[in-house]
Amino acid sequence: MATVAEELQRSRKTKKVEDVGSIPQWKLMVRRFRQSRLSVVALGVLLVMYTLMILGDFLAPYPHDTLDSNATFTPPTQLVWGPEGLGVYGLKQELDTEKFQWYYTTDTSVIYPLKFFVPGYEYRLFAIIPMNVHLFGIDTPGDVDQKVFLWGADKEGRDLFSRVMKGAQVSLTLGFVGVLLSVTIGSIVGTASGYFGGAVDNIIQRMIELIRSFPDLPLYMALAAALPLNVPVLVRFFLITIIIALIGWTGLAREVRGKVLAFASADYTNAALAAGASHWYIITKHLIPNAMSHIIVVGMLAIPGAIGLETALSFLGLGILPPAVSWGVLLRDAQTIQAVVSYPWLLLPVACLIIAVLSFNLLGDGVRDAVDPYG
Amino acid sequence: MSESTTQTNSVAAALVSEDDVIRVQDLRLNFYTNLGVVRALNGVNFNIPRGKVLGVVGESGCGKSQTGLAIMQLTPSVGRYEAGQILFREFASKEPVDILKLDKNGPDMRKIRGNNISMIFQEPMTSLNPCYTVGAQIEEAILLHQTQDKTESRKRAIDILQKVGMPNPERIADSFPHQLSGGMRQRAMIAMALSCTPTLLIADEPTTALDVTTEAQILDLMRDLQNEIGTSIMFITHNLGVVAQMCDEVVVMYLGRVVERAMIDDLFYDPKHPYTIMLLRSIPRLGVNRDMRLESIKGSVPDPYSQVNGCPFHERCPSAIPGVCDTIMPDEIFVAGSQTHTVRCHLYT
Amino acid sequence: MASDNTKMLLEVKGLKKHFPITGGFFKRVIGHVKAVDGINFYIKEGETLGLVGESGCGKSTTGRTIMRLLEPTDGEVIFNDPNLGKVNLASLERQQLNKVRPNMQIIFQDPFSSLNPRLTVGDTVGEPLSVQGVASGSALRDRVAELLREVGLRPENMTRYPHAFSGGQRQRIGIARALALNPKLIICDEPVSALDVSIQAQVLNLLEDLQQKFGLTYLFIAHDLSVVEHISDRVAVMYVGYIVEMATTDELYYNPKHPYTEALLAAIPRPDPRRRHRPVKLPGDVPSPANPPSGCYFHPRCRYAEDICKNERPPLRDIGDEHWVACHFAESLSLQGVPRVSDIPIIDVPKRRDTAEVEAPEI
Repeated sequence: MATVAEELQRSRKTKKVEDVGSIPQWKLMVRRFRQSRLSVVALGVLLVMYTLMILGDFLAPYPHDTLDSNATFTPPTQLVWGPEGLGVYGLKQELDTEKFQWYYTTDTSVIYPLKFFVPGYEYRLFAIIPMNVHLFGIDTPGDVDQKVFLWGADKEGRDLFSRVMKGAQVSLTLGFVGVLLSVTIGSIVGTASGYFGGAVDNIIQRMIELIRSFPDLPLYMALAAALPLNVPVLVRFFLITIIIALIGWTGLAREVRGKVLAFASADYTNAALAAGASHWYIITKHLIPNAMSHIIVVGMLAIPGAIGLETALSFLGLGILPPAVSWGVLLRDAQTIQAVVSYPWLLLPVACLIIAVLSFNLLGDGVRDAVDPYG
Repeated sequence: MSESTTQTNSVAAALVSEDDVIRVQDLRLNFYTNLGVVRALNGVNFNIPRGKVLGVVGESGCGKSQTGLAIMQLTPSVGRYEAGQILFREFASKEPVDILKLDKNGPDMRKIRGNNISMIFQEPMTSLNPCYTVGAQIEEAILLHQTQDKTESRKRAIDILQKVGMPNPERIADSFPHQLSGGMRQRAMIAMALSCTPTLLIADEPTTALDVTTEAQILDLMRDLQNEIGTSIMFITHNLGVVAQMCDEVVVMYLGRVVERAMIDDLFYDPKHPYTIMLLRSIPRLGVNRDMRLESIKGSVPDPYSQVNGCPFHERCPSAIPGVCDTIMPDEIFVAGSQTHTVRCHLYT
Repeated sequence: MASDNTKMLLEVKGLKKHFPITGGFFKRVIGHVKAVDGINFYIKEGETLGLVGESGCGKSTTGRTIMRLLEPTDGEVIFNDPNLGKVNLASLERQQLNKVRPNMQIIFQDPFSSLNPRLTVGDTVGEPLSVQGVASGSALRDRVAELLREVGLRPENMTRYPHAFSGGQRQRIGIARALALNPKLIICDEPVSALDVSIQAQVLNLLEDLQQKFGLTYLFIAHDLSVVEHISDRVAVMYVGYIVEMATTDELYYNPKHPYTEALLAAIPRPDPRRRHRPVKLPGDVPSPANPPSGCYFHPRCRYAEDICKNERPPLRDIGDEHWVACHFAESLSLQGVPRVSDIPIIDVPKRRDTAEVEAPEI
């Protein structure tokens, strides 16, 4: 019987062409995923966004909450090519006494050079390594208070680029973590409901119906309003995550239950039962691995909703509260018609949000098609 | 390849009688999928004589269903015709039209579909609309193609339901498809297909999903209706028993080609192609081969993406001639001494 | 029940499986689908009992209830276990049941849903061995390789996934899995119904070979009467959850005693164009097992029915020579069976050249 190993060895050696039969199913899914170009692009965009988010503090030239009354509503700074490479013109703030608005004139006689890897405020890279180096900044003589506002500045003269970077850290992770949490709850509850059936199933399903019968927005608002106001930002962040998860799991639990019901009645499950397998064996070996791809798809398609939800809550003033910053908080600044007309750069966070949500949707679609080409 | 094609066409031309409802000539159909090209039909030739039942037999993947769909122009959109024509002749006195030249969704094709050629499928539920009563669906076809009068169409619908052996046609006409049993649904499907007295009925495995007692009654019914109305039938099935009971002539298909064509009696009592012979030997027969070991055809049908050199059956054929069958594609030729029996095999050249 | 020298392997007595029909918001039980309604039969060691019937007659439910994949509502399933002796499967505790399970296995109809797409063939075939803790590591691998060879597949297929195989090959994998624990009884639940004609013959031959080699006993569930005739020693016919006739294959096919069996046999389309026949007219449809008729379930469709049939359900009784019938008039009716035919030519495959072909190994 020692020949088995030899036979296997031999067959491996002689195999020249690729044997599709020995490719596990998930690899076939990856292949199918690669065929949908748009989804691959979306995945690329998201990877870039998350990389930028992780490097946020390094990329942001200024702290997100530094007030600067001399820079109120500064438009995006124009980069010019000067004698020392890239640089910016000097800016002068003046008051339009008729409209009572600040406006800015450029002083083209001076060019302050843009410097890379400059020291700035203290932060921790990846929340661990203490650093003060930033990607860029401008070199000004000591007496000139001149900043570079890539995406302009807001009413308080805070750098919008730095604020979007910081806000991404909240908005992009909160949705992700919230969905991760609800996927976990939903999978466990859904599997239990689908596999054990009977009274367990009945109770869980009625509970889900009850939760889902509440109108969404008032429920979120009530829950968010119940959160303590004077807790650290991080704690509030997690509390909001939990709110998103607590309600988000119901839909997922139903999806998983449906899938588990189908897999539990499949004949391979029956064969395992007939061989005397335990419930645990069947759940971990047959049900979860088969349901996993669907769980991932549903989770992926839930992320944009969760991101949107956080934004909506923050926009309404119930989520992340200033001075902490998220994309929702930034959107609040852009909600007046005046902002749209006079300070259109305040809408840049909206663009970021749209790109992120769109990419997640495209990615989710691609993954779904790859997992279940006939679904 | 071109040489063999001409040869095949000459045999096909010699076979056809003047009055064929359908004449399929050198039909080639490829499917272009993500995983590769599927050669579904590789030069199919046959004809359906008027008023006869032609059986199309073969295993899954042999192209028998695709042939039926091609006549209806219902081929899935990934399919492309590389060559061939399907000539349809409504009356003996009418000029034949090439169905493949018609616009898939144009008025000419729509008139042919349903009015001149109808099709019934294995699963009647997929072709009956669950939102309308059976009667309404039959009436719709009649109103579309035959008459404008509503009371007249209702009368005809009930007539046809009666004809297909429904015990209580008025009640059935007012039922929804889900209220009927499988056999009843298939009867309703047949009623719908026959409501416009089509020239040709394409039946794609119409009894495969049914129980044996129901199947027998549906076959009986189709036989009776065929005698009465005179519709030609193309009967697609994998069940040789059903073929023997139903058909006048048979076409055996393998991997998108017709490998043998014969009158029903010749096929069962004097089969020529090794594939046909092996198929007949591999089915258990009541009261015949109980204590005998069944003949089995070794291996399985090659996967649809691959291309086989020579005769497509040579890898599974016990009589394959080395050096010939695996390199040269055999032509379709007449069996010696017959005007109706053709075979595509090197053993008879 | 039966008095024979051969050892009884399985005796089913009064087995019932009712599925509750629930309705309303609180899912109250408002009725029962009597899928299996008090059936009796037995299987002797080494034989094949065919169980035939139309769809919905409860034949698959019977198989699954015997395997305890479904919990029986009532009745006994006495299995003669080689180690534990006679045990009633219907009432065994889970732990005890798992000790009996290696001796009875099941083969499924659908070659696609019966294999987990995420597991390699090796994992699937080896599953019973690892679940029962019989073998692991290289011993497991060797056993799996042996099993694959046994069913005509190459051992190197172990590392491949089900999607690489055709329907017939998948069915072989399912058979290898069922063989893994050296069972005594294998329940074959429509094992060839989903296969092409030529592949059907391969699988039937394989099942016959394995039966000879390992002394297996089969409960062969199918709706195709020709297949059942070919493989079975005895045949039982089910109608709406009830066995109406059970006899040796020859008796049942040539000398049926139940009107339903007669109608079934007459309906089989024979592959012989010179013998075209018309089916026995069976009025109406198969009744719903949720709401069966009174008395003999077959009486509304039976052309021999009399008053007693409407009121009294005939029990399954032995009318001699192990021919069991559930009909009041079994002795008096003269019914038509399958005609014995001998003049059908079995055509030889033409051989023009000496092609001393060596049977190529299965893929």
